[in-house]
Amino acid sequence: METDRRTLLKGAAMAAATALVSPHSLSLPVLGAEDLPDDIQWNKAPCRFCGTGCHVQVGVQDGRVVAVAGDKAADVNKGLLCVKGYHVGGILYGKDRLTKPLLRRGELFEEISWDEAIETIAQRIMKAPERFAFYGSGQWTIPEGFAAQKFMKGGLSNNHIDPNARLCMASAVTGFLATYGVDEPAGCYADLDECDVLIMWGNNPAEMHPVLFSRVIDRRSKGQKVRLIDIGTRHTRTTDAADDFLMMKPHGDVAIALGIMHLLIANDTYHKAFVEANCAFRALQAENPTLQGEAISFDEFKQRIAKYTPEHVAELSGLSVDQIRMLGDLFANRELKITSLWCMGMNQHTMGTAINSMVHGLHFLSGHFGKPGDSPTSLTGQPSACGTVREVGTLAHALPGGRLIANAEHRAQCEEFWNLPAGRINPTPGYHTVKMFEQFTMPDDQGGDIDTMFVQVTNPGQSLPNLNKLFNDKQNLQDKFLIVSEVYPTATTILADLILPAAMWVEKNGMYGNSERRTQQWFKMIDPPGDARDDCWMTIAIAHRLMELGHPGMKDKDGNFLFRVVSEDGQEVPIWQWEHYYDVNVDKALFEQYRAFTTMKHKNLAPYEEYVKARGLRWPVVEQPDGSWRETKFRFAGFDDPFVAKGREIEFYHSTSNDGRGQIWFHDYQPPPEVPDSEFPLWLCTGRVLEHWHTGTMTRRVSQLNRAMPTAYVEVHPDDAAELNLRQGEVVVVQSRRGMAELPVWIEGRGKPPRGSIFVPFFDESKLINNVTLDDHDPFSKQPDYKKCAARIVRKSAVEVASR
Amino acid sequence: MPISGLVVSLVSDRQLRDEALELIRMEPRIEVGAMHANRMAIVLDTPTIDEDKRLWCWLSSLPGVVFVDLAMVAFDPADPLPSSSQAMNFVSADENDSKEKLADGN
Repeated sequence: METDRRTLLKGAAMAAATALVSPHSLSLPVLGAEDLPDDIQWNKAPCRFCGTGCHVQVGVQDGRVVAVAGDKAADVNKGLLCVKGYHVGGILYGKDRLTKPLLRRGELFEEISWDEAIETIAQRIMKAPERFAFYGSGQWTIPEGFAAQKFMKGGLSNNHIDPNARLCMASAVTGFLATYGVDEPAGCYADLDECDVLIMWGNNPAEMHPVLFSRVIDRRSKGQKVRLIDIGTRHTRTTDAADDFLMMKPHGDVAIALGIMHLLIANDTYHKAFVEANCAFRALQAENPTLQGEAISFDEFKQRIAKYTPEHVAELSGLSVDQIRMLGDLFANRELKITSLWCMGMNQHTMGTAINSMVHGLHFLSGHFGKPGDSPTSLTGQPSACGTVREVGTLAHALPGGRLIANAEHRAQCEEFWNLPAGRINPTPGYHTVKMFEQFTMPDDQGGDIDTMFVQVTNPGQSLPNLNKLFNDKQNLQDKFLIVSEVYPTATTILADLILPAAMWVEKNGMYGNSERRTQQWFKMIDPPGDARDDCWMTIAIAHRLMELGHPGMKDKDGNFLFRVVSEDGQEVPIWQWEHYYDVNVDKALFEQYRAFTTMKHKNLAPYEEYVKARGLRWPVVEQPDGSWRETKFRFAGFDDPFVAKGREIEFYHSTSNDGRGQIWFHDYQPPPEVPDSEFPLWLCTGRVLEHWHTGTMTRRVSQLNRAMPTAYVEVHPDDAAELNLRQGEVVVVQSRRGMAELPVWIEGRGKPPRGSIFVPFFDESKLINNVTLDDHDPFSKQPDYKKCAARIVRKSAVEVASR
Repeated sequence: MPISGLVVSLVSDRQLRDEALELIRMEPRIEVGAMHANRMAIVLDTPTIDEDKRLWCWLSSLPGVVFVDLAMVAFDPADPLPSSSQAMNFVSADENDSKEKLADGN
């Protein structure tokens, strides 16, 4: 390394570290400030990666992003960024960006025109609209998701639309619905600034949401006392900073929540006044259980929970009796403010709905709710899992604004908002993600009734569980057609029949909604490379071609195009033609249409222009007498939420019991669907790493990130390694009943699983651990369990000998 | 030859914090930068990735250190990296060349 270059890099590294140390120092661009010419144009955007929703300032020069800085004006991150955020600009410039539509011809792909691509898709859909499915994600912007939703449900009368978010946070949704009658957190990130105790349930925010974790660590640096409790199945970087590490067995969280509630009742330390004023009790019906369950009395709840004594819970969870009693005492202490934090650990769980509901219930029962710092708070993994999936409702059973396909009144409301003829929306929910891919990878003559699938903004060929069952089988099916809109080649494009080059992030206008109900907006800053185009445009162009082919659903009841947008002088703008797409702000037009849907569930949004001015606003956003717009930090709390009746401290105004009460749920502990045995003796857990986001398709193109974490690995306990005679770095085969993956061994690595457990991150497309994982899922949310299944490690030499 | 920009969060206990600071300042592979409240910017400059990792672990193990955040990592193109994706047929030719030379992490 040349001395000059090395000196420069050291300077940049010190500048990066210094920017994190002092929030008052100049924000850090990826380039050193002294290297930046004066003619850089700066504009705001949310980071492209996780659900935290940090804001960055993006520096553009000569049509290219040349710098990224933390945004000091942003309340979420106050100028801080994690290592991925600092390098977010680099994701645009991988050498292998897709720039032309590509159609499969046998084993090869042939470049085709956009007209031919749109025609191909329209003809496939026209032939059998009911056998078409649309798969997206929480990486869709809000307008993109709204357009996809309207195209499918309002246009094709087809509900087979679902997102990758089904695999990430569907159990959080069902947990909120079962408890509050309405989705998404009551609190916000300010809870992290106010809590005395932060309990992380199967959560590793030090690596997965590092900026939020830094907010807490920063409080300690200032001398504030905040106790961190890490309840997990392996030692992580979060554990390093924790005051208490409670190592639980996989699935132990359900027992722990039950055990704490048992202690609160047995010791008579539950918050009687809070419960009497604000809560009701629920349990599943004995037969045909539903998400709403049935009401039970307090005495019945007490009776059912009586068996979850500390001793019994210790047996189920792996915690000690003392640790369970410690948690019971903490929740019994009214002087403390307690925030619970969770993400995939509780969501990717065959009892995901149950554990989500019971952690909310635990906060209700103890009265740790409704004050800043006293809150159950779930995080999301994708940048707009909340905004696009949960709020726009891009799920097979949902409609925009918290409405449901199965509800006739909700369908009628949507038809009215969209100006559609009555009855246009199909009353039968579509296929959820796992079912959708089962049907797509099943031959027609065996009942596989999805023939054409359009994938936008996600990578199911890597992220689905049990890939051999749910994705890889597509390879040999001639009657299936996979369309993938992508920015780079991925594990999904390998099996695609048609690949569409997509614009990404600041190459297009966009809006996201983050984990704390914050809706964010940004403008297009640069052109996409080659012929890459916006996903939203693709949907609109396909819809318009279908209209030309005579599909009746592509017109509203007045005979106008479903996506008709008019200019200021009232003339229709041909936005289906790429050269005219940016003649108007299509995002604004779609968002203003979407706003009308949001008031039913009190998720009110402000006009588009308010988001242009702000670094995001947390809904409900309500207009004030002076014409300004006010956001809401704490829902259901009388001191902040404008929809709580005057004089009430707490009101759950979408209560499923229709009396303003939140539900405290009882669920019996159920064992995991698969546990280690003599054949597959290890627990396998999967997840992410700090340096890479999701399936790594963007972050692995950033050389700094790829070099910092170039390969997936399997973390193994030293005693297991010794017993299996494994060496550090040796490549082994991780096997389950479903498939295998080859991975290098990491002993005493970044994470430290206990004996009998292994961990593998899923970012590496050359080492597909989802060939091994389980597709069993929660009965209500349909979210699979990626966090626990039975596996074994076999030395490569043994596999080679066996295969001879 | 990796270079890492890190943020070290120190404990509030003055004695433990001062002991950690003294040890960090004595370490020749660490350059110490600005400090605000209990957070300190540092740069690690080491000849190998393994040494970088060991130094990171040493930092994390100091009783006066609460947490180590990563701000930036830079590697020399000639650094010996563990093997990356064999299926990444989309990486550039020069990257492929370098990866082919690498063993599978052992």
